[in-house]
Amino acid sequence: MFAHAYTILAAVVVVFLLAKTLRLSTELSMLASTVAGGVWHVFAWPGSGLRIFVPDNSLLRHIVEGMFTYFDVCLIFISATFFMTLVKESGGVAFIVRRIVKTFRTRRVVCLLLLTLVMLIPGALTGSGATAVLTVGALVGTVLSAMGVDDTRRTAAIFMTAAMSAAAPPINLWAMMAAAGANLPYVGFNGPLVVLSVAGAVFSMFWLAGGGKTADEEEAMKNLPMPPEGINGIRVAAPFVFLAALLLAGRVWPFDFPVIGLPMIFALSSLVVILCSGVRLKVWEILTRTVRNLLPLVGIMVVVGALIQILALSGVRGLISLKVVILPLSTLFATLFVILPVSEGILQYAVAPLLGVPLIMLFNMKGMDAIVALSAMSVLWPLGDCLPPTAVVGRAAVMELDFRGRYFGDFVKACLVPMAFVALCCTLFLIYSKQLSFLAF
Amino acid sequence: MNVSMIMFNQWITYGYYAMTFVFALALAWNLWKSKDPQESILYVVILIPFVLRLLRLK
Repeated sequence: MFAHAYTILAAVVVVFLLAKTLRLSTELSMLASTVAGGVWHVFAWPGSGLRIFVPDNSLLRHIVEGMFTYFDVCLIFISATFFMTLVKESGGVAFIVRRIVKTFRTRRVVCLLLLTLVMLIPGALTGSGATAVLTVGALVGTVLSAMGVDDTRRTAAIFMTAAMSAAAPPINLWAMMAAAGANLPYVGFNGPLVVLSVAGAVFSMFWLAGGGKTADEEEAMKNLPMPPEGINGIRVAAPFVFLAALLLAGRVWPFDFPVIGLPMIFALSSLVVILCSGVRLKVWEILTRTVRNLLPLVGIMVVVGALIQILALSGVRGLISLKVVILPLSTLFATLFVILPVSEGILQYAVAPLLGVPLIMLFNMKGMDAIVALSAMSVLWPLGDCLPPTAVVGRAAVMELDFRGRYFGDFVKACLVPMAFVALCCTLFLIYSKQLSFLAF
Repeated sequence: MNVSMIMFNQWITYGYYAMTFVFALALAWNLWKSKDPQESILYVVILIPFVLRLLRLK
């Protein structure tokens, strides 16, 4: 059985690397390795009774079933990003940023705190750092530029705050995927996630953009897009108030309020944006553009589900879990802050169910607080979003802010100190998870 | 559970089918417009769970 699982694992890794060499996208490479692993399992172990196309017990059925694993997460992802894109297109984001510059330009600390908050909201609602960069990154970058922050530090600040926004609650996709795999309800994560992600974002913003001059209002306003006529604070705030009300209603009246679910909450809030918008929004165009922008991320979630199903079916997932749970805790504490971001750079969200689930099992077995530990890991993962081969958020930040410097020599190097701070906080949360369990309320 | 709550839940279920349909339509539209073969394959793969859910096969 062990030899069989090792062979399948080798087949999956080899086909993935081969497909990447042939310039296939990460998602299709993963799909190819999933099919290869499954086919190998069918032919190498005929005793399993599995066939390629037989209706009841076929490889095809397992692959399709796996594609449904993160279907709800896909719906959340699309609906939340659609909501944020509508807010941006209605001029809401430009209105908020212009108002911040106008009111707080002489008070640098308050201005930076509010810009950090603006960066945190889209990622916190969608679970995607790329969405944060694409919706508000350029606008916040323009204000930072007017505040005298150089290109390298500005791009690094946008990346780091976007990475932390992806980790911020209520939507943390790594925690959601790992929790789903470990049969752990996604409840109680808000406390530890908010402490780690907000601390990381604020430290990053002040470390990278703390020094400099007072914002040049004229320069900033000239470069920021004009919000449409008739927009005001109430129109911008209404969708967010509605969203917050629906999110809270289920908690305040758990037995009297129907379970709407996050995708429907975002869809209803999107309707409020459309109704409150001062301009006529091209809804279909915005939706198709949102889906196109999310293609790699939704694609990887669908494919990862299939991969996990095949790995579980063939015993590879058990093998990986076994190898992880026999590791000494001290080794994990000393290496996770490197392993998790690097694995994120390679596998993206796939890493959460692959590595996260056995680690959660191990931490739970050792008497640690599983929620605090998973929260700490979920904040470490997005740090790897600037690392190759995927580097999704890093590339998005560089493109959106038109960064001309060296990717590793300038941009990644500028991120190292904030990354070290986040890594240190997360490692401390891992080590002292039991003592910090009061945060998981 | 009272009758109004059951009715609400029923409407929410219909809402989810409608949402899945709209998202599937947007995916299919992008698939139709896409000229990149790798992108097209990925659209087809993503569409599988959406279509199966709409057909109530899964």
